[in-house]
Amino acid sequence: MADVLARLTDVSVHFPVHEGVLFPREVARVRAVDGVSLTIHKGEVLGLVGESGSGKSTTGRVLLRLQDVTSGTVAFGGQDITHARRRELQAIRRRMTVVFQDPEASCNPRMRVGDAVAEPLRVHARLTTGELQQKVLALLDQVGLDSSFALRWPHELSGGQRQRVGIARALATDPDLIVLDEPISALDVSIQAQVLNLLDDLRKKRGLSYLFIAHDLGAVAHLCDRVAVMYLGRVVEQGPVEDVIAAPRHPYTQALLRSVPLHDPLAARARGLQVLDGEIPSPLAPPTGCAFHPRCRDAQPSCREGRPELVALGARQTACPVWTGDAQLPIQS
Amino acid sequence: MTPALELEALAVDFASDRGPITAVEDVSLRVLPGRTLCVVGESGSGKSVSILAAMGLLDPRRATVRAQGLRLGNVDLLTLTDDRRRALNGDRIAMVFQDPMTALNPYLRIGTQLTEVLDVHRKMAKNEATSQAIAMLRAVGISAPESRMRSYPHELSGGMRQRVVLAMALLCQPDVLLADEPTTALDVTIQAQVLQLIRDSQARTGMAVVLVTHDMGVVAHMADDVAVLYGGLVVERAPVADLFAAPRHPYTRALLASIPSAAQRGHRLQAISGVPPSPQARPPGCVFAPRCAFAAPICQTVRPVEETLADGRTVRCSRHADVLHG
Repeated sequence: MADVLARLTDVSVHFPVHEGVLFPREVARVRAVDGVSLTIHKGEVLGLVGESGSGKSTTGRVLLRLQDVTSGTVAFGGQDITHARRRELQAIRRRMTVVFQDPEASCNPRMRVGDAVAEPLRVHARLTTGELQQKVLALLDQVGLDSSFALRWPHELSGGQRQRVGIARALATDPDLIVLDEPISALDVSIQAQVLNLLDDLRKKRGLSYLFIAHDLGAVAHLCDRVAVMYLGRVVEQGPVEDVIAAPRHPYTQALLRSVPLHDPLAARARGLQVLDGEIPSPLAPPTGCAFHPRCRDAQPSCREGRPELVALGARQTACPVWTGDAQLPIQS
Repeated sequence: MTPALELEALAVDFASDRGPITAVEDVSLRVLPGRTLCVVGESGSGKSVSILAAMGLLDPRRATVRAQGLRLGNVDLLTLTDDRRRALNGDRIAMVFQDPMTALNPYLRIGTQLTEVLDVHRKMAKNEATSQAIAMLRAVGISAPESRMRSYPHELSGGMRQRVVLAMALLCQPDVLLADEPTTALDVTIQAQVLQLIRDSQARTGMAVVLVTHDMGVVAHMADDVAVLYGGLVVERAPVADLFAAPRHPYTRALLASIPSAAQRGHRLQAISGVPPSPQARPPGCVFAPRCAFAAPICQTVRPVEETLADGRTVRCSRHADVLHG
């Protein structure tokens, strides 16, 4: 495959929990991310899926260096950036940008759209006012907003339009990689397809890479080349998206996919909704052994001991020692 | 059979500084006992306001509710006094909201909030109410319900809270359960649990369910009948299998075609261009015309009426015959 653009190696993020005010002592640790390794190649879209509390957003923040690691390394463009300082980070942030879930929260309500899109350029590039204006209008055009939007305020925009502004800002510095943290979850259904198409077009046109963090497996299946499934801070399965979606190996991936409603009433009635018992356990007290074993149908006594590591088979990696065969799931029609 | 709930030509206006805003223009819905009606629509379609109007929860100082009919079984809700109306809520008709924290009092224990329902509606003695509440918590899949009765809402996860709200709604065995996006804030695995729970409760009690959602997958799994709302109007009503197999309104058609999935990989999604109209600025003709692939000149000027087709489905589109063959 093509060149590696970004790589997380055995990354862990632990948040200590303190007790006591005058003499605080650590009483527990939340293992938000626990030994995650991911690779994003040039021009590739990697999907990162999992439920709330799985650590997928924290993983995205680690890559962006918005979150320091407890251990492990972060590399970007062939350079170790785990401990990069301010000046180095500034250079990295030109090449790696982010779009957040809630476009409302990421737009300054007192800044006109044009100024908001210009802001990253003011920080990272030295342009004259004329050049800046031209560049901003070109960026707005690329995300499907006409020049009149430059003078508007965020509150005059719909959710979909605000998200387009967020994408224009992320594109401003000509990045190589954009971390998309649930970019369509807050949008209306009829707008989600527009934004997905836009992301797909931009990626093809500019050879961009994305880390696409999402819980909508349909969108992941549509946009991503590869997908990594996280559960309680660990990657339990990763591989080419068509393999993982069509024939998931890890029992958690299988359960997750079977919980996604089908868009066909007859197939829906025939299959029903898989009901996975219980909820994701507290990361303060993760189960021993495989973190999924208390909810797993295929759990063996051995699953309670020893944490299963990812094992590669073909293009896929699965962290389940009792895996015996691929599950065949009906693909969404 | 008498519908468990029927809304006939519902319209809701909100007062604003710049004159009244029509949130709901013309919405007719009906659901039979034991059946599930899914109400589909985007933000601003009027789906939540319609449901709130059915519950009588709109502030009369701000909202004007008009309807040809609003009936809960044989009870005419339009002529009911406020007191009588309030007595029905939580008893014969109950509601579950998207965010369970809006339905739970953060200062009160779960048990207090559950037994209060039985005290108000059934005048039930404390002991009996407690044991019924515990039984209901168990029925909605909460483990160790006796100790959970003493929990405060913040001590529960989102999925647990939604179960508690559901338990509260089901305590008096209502004839109609209204659920406004009850699983939108939940993860898919928890969503599956809560949806299954609604189904099981329905099978047990024979209640009618009105489920508001924007997720066509949830519709496919849950609905017997579907009403599609757009711009304050019902644009199409049909049994679920018919709606998916042959959508008659261009909006329904476009909505179903725009859903991303593995099967669509490599293809461009058929996105609907433009944005849904805001209630302040709805177009004069058909509300969907500006985004519609089938729009003809007539659609820009004439607002279509809701037509009943031979098979009993309804559609609001001047060109629905062309849509079918388009």
